[in-house]
Amino acid sequence: MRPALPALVALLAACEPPPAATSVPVDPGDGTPVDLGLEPARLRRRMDIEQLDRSIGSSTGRRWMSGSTALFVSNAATLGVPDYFQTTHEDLEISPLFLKFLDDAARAVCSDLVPEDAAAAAADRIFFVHAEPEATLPADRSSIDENLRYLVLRYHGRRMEAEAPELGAWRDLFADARAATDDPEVAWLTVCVALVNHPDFYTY
Amino acid sequence: MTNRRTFLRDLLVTGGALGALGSATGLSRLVAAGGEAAVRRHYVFAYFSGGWDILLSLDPRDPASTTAEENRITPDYDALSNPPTTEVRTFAGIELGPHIGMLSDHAASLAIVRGMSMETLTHEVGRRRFLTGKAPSGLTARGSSASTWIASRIGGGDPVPNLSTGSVETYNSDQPSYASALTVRGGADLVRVFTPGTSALEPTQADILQAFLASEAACDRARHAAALREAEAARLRLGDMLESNLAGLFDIGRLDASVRERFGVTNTTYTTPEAQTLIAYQALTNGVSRCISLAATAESLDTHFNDWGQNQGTRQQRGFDAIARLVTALQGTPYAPAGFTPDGSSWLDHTTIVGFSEFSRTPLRNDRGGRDHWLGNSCFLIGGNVRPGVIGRSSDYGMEPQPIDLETGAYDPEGEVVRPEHVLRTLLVDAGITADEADLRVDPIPALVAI
Repeated sequence: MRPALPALVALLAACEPPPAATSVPVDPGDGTPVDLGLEPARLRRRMDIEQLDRSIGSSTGRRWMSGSTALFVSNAATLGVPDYFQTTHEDLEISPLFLKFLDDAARAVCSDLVPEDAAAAAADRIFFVHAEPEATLPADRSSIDENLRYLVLRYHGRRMEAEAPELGAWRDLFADARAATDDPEVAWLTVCVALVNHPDFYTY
Repeated sequence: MTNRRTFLRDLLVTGGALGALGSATGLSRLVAAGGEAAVRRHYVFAYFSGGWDILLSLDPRDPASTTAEENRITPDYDALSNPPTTEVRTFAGIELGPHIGMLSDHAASLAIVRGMSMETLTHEVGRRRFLTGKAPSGLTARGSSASTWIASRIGGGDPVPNLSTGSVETYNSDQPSYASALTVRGGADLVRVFTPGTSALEPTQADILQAFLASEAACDRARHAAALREAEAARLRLGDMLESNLAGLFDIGRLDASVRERFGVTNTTYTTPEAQTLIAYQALTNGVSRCISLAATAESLDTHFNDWGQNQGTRQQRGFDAIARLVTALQGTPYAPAGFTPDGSSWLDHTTIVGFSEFSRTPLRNDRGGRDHWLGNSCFLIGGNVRPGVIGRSSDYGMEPQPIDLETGAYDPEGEVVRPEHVLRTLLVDAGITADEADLRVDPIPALVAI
């Protein structure tokens, strides 16, 4: 029987020809981007304290310190960092207490960063990269915008186009702060503190 | 006068940002909270960490008539290091163990629930069950803490509706964000949170910064992300706290020495049980918080080894003593919050204090001289509408949980074994949450609280 099997298969194949492929019209549309809505694809969450400490360090080049004490470390228990004895889970709620420590850290770090960076050589700067500390509006709008875009990218990881409406809010912040003080560095200090206090900094 | 919270509430009522502070259910409670501002109820949840040995305090046995052979219970009071007594004593008709401490002074006002079942031998599970009234999923708490529920209902107008000092866990899974606890380790953290930041920014710059953050929070992208809405709500709460200028209330080192002495605070370590109860007193009587959780023990009661004899009694007694001082202070303070006409009542008449631990310890000592985890438990309540006396009992053989009649609190073989959710449901009803909105699925205990 075994030698007859190939012949049988060949016979059946001859009875029913394979179906011919047919083309189906598909409308791919005109290339208009689909509106995905405003809700992020996944829920944003707050950084834990170690991530926050490192993020401030990598963004500003400084840690929040008191002498030789790293304050996010010494305040870890207060900020809910698990000790793996009593607690094993870090509460990532954005609480008033968290925001208070964040603001304290921002003020401390930025008040060191801004004057030191302003005094540094241009090649060594990490804050005044595209604008001079004494830049003013409207004369230096281009360089200020460029610096703000750079800072938002550095601190928040958001790339803003040159004419993005969001950039206007940062420019207004700088302008308002600059109008309220004779010291241009204070205006940039306000921008620095705002960058760290902004939810885009500590959520992802 | 419109503050940030009332502004936000108005905004919510108009539907401007329905999701900003929680679900529609949460919204209705938020609005209701304002309407129930006249409710003069306050709550303190005192957590004894590590699993307490109730034989030494809340559910003692007479060593002379209790044996391992007959009862499967060994009080072993004579094995304790320097016990105040080795006998069971009776105060106001309640038998209490050797390490009940100064709480015995308030026995006439004390309610003790005995013979409870925790249905677990795991610290986190027992603790979270007593906080939420629900068995956790694994170790993950389910539902909101009773303190959060109560704060959402009656604490809406307070600077800190829900305060947790001593880093006692609290949960908020379904209530408005303002009801989430402000969790701190002690007074120093409260001083920090109530004190404006460094002078790195001038007030004008700080105002500009806040206006910028507010405008950012109002943009579409921020309003549609839950975390960013949470961030904005927290920023507004922080602003309220900083404006309230309350730091001095919690700067223990600067309080009058007589106040510190009243609570047994002997140094500036702000995280001791004595300091925690002082913070609670300050927060309650100065209208800062309506609902407070505190750590009544500085060190764990988890004594599996021969540290039981050395530490178990003294550590829990320190907590009882601290609570007793709080009771005394509240009892001696006329109730006169803003807008309330004094009627001769004291703060204790309006404040219910609950003392609890995640479970108790085995009635028999192990071969290492300690006691292990035991699923039976007790808790105590005092103040407010609490009915003094003993509710329920544990068995005289092995201290097993026993069923009771919830109406009378007496043993009833046809009744129910009391679990944490019964106690919490009772407190929620006491706070005006009469329907089982927290989905605890048990009845309250009328014998425990006049409701």
